[in-house]
Amino acid sequence: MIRKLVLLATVLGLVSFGFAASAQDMTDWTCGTVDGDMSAAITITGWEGPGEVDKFLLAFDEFFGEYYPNVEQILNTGVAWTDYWTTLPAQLAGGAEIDMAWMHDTRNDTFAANGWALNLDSYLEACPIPGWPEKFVASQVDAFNFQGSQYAIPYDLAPGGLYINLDLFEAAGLEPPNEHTSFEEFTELANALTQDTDGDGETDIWGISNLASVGRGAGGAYWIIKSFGGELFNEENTASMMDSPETIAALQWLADLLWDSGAHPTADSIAATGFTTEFLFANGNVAMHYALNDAASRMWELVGDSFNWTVVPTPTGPAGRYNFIGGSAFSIPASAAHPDLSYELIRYTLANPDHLCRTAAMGAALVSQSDFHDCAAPDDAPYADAYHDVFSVIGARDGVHPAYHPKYLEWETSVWVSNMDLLWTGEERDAAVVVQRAHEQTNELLGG
Amino acid sequence: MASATKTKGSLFGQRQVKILMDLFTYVVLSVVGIIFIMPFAWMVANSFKDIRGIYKYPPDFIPEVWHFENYTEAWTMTHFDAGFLNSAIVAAAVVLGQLFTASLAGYSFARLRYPGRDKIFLLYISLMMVPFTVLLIPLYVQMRYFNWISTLQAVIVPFLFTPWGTFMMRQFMVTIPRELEDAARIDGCGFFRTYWLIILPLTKPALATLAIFTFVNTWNSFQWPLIVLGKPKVKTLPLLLASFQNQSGMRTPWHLIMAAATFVVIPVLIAFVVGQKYYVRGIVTSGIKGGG
Repeated sequence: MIRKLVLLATVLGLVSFGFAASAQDMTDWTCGTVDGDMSAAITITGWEGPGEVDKFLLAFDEFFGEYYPNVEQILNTGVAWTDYWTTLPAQLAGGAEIDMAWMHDTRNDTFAANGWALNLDSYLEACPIPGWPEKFVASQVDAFNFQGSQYAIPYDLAPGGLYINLDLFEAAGLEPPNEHTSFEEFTELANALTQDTDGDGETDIWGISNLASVGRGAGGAYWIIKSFGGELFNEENTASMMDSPETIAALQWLADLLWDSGAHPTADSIAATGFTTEFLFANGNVAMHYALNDAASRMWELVGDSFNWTVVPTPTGPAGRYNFIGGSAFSIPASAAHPDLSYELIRYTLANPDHLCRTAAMGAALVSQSDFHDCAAPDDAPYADAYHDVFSVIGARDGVHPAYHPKYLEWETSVWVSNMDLLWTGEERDAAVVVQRAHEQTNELLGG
Repeated sequence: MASATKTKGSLFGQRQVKILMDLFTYVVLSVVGIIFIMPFAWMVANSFKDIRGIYKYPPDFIPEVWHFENYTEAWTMTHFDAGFLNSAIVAAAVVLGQLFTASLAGYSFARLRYPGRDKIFLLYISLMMVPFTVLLIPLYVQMRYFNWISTLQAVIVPFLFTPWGTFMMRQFMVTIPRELEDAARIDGCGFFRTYWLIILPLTKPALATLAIFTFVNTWNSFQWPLIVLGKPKVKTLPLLLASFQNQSGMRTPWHLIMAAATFVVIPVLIAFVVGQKYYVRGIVTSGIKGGG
């Protein structure tokens, strides 16, 4: 009798365990507000093009194939980055019936404040996304939250790191930097690796590239400013804090890499090669290249067996260690014709565990759910372990970005870029001069 | 005789001077020509390379291996057949429409007499000063109202009327002797028949110039079609070309873009070659160059 009871209990236990294990698979990926037989066209627009967007298109096809077979997808993806941000506002201001749009963290607040993006709070409450928000990386959830409301669901996170040509380090007898390397030590490394190999007076190998470039937004330098102890705005985003000695020191450090030591290529020297710095690294002309995590798979393709490389964390400053973190999301325009369907599509695409690993692997991306970060770098990739440490662990832990606000884009274009470009082009080499002007203009814009 | 014009103490006669000047002119023009043709030559050369060949540093002008398959791959990768058809329909409709409306309006402003004619003309051509960016949102709202979003009408109808073309046609038509018009009237022609049978044939150079400018502008038009043409089936060639690009430049298949750009530019080259004679004459007689 006891044996029978034990057997019964075991069977019941196994059955319960089986149900629990398969509970995730039984998630209903519809919310019950859209008729499964509906016949409509859903318009989706984004900047990711062939090779980048495919990871999502597969999920879209699966979702519509299974739940809404009569819905036609009108995909307007692959819109060039700058074109995307000029056309989308024009379309939305004109009431375009776009159902789902790629959104960037730098733009979220502007779109939300202008009423172009739909507030998703009621959707999240009525039909919660599995794992939201606890399984999503907090910084990315926050990046698309405006005044306490969620306006987009993040699909990735993109931390910055350093791509290292190990052969150049070995040839110079130097050890690659690590997360404890100071900015002074980093500068010494960059200088030591900078070489004029043919003796013609021109640099052939640069120690570091892509830390500063003409037209780049503030996110590219913000982590350095934070590492030095500086800041851009006050907590309320109503006044500038750019004139602090720490902010000036951080920007002067960058400017000196270009104009003092020459370890970083200038805009002119890059233009003379006819290529991007990413390519110059892949071609062996750069020892350390700063880039986001998504560059890893491209490097793997382009470098091939030409040289050994890996990724390492960016240096640590006097105020601690920070690295840039950015990300993108899916949003629903306020003028969408089928917002309920768009929400279900986003929910399925970004939370269904059945395909999240594939999504991560196809784009070498850190998807917004941290449980799937190990999928981003293929096991056979030589950089897999380093990628995990640098981007998934350290990068996600120390990631910072400027405080985005509704006037951020206007500020970035009219104040940050226009002033900082003077430093990056060499028209002005004293960071204090540039920062003072930017500080005054920022206060004027923000009303501080 | 040329040699007879050689003056005492001069090393060269007029003929030699002319030869030297011609030689100098040809050298300068050849250098300028090479500078202008280099981007096109580079585009064509790169269209036969693979992606590694494109990124090779220092670069090779001539491909190591000729990849003719880039053209078939580029053609099949997106809906280029549909794109060509869409671009051809849009360009043809806009060119024909503009030729008709601009020549008719130009005839009115140049030849007909009615109160306020010149004021209306000035008002109309002042629209040339309104940047198109300002019109984007109102025009988009209008297209939505007509239910023309993602249809070819949206990229045809707003461009059937052109202040610049009207201005150009008017400038040309005022140079046509009025006696020809008077003779037509005596023969019993009304306003429209005079325009159609007498004035229009005489304005061929200006029409050709307007046609070429309009064709090139419409064929290459990007911003407005990008905003208003969302469905892949109605996209024009520049939109398809742009869709090859990725945010990360290194994933962009530049070799295929170069191949696609090569066959996209062919109709424009044909338009220039065919209309070159009229085009130059049109510019000279109307005193207008550029525009759109």
